[in-house]
Amino acid sequence: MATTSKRNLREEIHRSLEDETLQRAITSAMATLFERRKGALESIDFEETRLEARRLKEEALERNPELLEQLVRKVEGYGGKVFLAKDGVAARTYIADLAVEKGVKTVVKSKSMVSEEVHLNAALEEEGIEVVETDLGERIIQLAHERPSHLIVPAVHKTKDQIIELFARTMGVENPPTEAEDLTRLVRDDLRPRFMKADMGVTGANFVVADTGTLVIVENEGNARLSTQLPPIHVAITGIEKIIPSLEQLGTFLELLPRSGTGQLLTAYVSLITGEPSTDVLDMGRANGGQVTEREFHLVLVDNGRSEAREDPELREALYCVRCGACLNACAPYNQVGGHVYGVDPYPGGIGCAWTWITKGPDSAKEINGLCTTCSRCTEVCPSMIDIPWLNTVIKQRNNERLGMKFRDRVFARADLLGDVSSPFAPVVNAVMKTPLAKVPMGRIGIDRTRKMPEYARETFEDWFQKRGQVTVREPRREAAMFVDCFINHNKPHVGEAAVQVLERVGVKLELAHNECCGRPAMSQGSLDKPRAWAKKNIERLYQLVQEDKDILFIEPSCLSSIRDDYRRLLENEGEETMRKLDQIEERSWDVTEYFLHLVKEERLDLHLRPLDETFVVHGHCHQKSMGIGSVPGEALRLIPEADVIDVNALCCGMVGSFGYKEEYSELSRAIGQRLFDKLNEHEGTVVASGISCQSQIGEGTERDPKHPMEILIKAFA
Amino acid sequence: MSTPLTEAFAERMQSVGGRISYTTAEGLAETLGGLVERDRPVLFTPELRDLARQLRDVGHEAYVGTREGVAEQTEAAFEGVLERAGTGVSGSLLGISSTGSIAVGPGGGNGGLLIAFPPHSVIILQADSLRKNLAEALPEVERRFDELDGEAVFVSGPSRTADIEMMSVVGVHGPTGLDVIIVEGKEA
Repeated sequence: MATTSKRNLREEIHRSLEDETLQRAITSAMATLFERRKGALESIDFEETRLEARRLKEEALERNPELLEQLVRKVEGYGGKVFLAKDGVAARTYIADLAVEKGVKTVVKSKSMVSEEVHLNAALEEEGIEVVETDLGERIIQLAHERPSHLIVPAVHKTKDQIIELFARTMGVENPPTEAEDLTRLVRDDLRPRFMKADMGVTGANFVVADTGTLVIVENEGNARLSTQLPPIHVAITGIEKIIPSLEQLGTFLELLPRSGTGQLLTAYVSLITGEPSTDVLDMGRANGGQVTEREFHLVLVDNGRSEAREDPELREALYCVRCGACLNACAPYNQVGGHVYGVDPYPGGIGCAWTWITKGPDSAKEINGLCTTCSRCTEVCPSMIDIPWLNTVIKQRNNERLGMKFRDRVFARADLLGDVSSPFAPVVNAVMKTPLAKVPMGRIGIDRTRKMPEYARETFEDWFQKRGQVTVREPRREAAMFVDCFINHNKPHVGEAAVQVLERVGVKLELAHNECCGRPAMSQGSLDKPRAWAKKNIERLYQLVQEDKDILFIEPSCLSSIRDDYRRLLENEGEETMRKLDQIEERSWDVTEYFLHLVKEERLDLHLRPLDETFVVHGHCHQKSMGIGSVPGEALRLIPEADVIDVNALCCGMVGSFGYKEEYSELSRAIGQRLFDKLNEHEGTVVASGISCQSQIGEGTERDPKHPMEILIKAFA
Repeated sequence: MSTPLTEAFAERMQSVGGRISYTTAEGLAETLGGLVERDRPVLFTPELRDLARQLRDVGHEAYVGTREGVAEQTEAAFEGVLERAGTGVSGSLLGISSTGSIAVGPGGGNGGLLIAFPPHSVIILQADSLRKNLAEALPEVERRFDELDGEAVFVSGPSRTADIEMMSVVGVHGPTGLDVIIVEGKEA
């Protein structure tokens, strides 16, 4: 299905950032959801539980065709009707035809993303049937003629004042109440009679159990209860990926879904429904003209691209999504612009991009694909451990292949080459890049001209290291190799130098890893062929180092994250031998600060550091956080006597490699950054950031000069 | 005679807005009578027929909440009684201590409706049916799934929403009030 109109995302981003009401609505809601989730997870072992959930999802999807058959047999066995809809048109036509045939006048619906996906409401309304969304949030957006902007809080983009105004306009209430409680009561009273007279209730399902034919519906409002119990006909519409083998698996999912979604231990109602309800049929529907006197249950299982995605090894894992929305709450771009900008009807966010590809096709997905910064904060919170950044990388690559890659993105993809070419002429290149002469072509290829480009150093980190010759570390405790990354090497060699000096002080004998680029700059442009080739070479090289009993140290957390997280996917088809090598490499790979701290702790080193009576304001790198080492920089700096270390808690700096340089995203990048800048600026002192692009962004946004932890530590050693 | 399981259950249930009463089998009718509105019908799931009678005996308008149950006692239509009902009273299968939840079965037909439709819901929980957590409770529900006709609802507090600016509001489409009466055995 092709898109009809091309979106102007840059304009949409701009408008949403200017919209103060939207900003207020999203900011407070996201923070609340994020915190509630954290609190709820304290009572379970999240990592262990989600590993199990992931395993169960993988198994269920692997067995999907067989489970689907079993489910159909089961439901038909108890007298339910099953319709397998190959696409959205088939699904909505089936339900609309059924409603017409049965003389249905009113349909009450509880929340279902799949029904939005197939545009069910429009199909029913075309037949003159009244469709009533009954979930409060869904009702709000139905009255506003909008689409959901969040998976579980569909009207999260609206403030209370906007809702009051909306109710006054659409519900014929002259002076609507002003308290959330009274507004909720107003909707309850308005919907009760509609529930009573409805002839058909439409619901989704969070899980469908194959061996019992049972729907599992997780909700809080009680509207799914009423939608299934009151009207004579119940139609459940859901995706085929929601099938699980048996009730046995349910426990694991129920531990995770409410906690991740709303931060509840369990929602107010978790309904297990098998077939038509035993509830007495009300006469209200018939009084209204409906002709249904018997109970009926219909299960509409929607494919709409899911089977194809199941066969697609790279996109398959999108199907593990349980629609909890935790990824959205953790996503910096989503937190700024919301799901109407970062989303395609009806699926929001980075996971929504994958779902758009699956259900609507590549062209629709392309429009929001670039908004994923691949920071990985979503993967950290996903109860199904879906690698959303990787899904977005793959989609970017496929669209590049289909439609060609922008020249600018080709340039950004080759950080290695840019450095190699520029370093020898560093002073000239740096001077030229500041001139208007350079700004013109930058602007022309889509780089934000107001951005300061990173300066090149004349002497690279590699040259410095080679030039200083053999350094004797007396009685070395460890031997390790420095992974040389493109930006440290060409732009910030002094950070590498500081790291080398710190590590040598704690007894590490160092060499260079002589590696290729980790591949991240290219991967984030959706270019995977080169990174694949580099990754293979790097694995051979790093494996050799591991064989020599050496650790591998990374200064840039994003490089380490490539190796830990992305190589496995990049080299998926390389076979077990490669994976085995990768396992061993991972075990010996460290972030430099993490490594330093580890040595100090394990060897109980007495560092005799010089006191530094300074304040250090630390920004945690997204990839450090996603790798579970977010606290490392702060911890390392706290080893310095008299140092006052403040960890600042923000989502992301917003630059994320080349993201902030791209003209269509630079405004968003700055807005994301602003939240961090404000927090940093609450404190005097030296800003500390481990990432090179974090440093550029913070430097530009705060006019302060951020340092890598190693640059601080070496001062304390002097 | 509260145990760690009932205490934890009560704490959880109260934290999401549920109210807890303790009683014994003998005191149940009296406890219930104190919780329901006097001038609105009280509907019971069929297995609580005796309890309905006891409430009727003390002047409540109490029915077994099915079409037949209502027809047995009054000319009024079931729909009308349901709409007027102040309280729905239901039995339960088991309770879950760690999440503060109660599993309710089909309740002889309209159980699923009685816990969700009237503005006030009362669920009766036998103290000895409390299980520690979901992992203990689910297999039990699974084992009895056929006898339940595949119908069970885990209720954790009254209905609620946070769809307006994340402000928690109790009582959206389901009940505004949920009372759980824990029936304890005689002191051992």
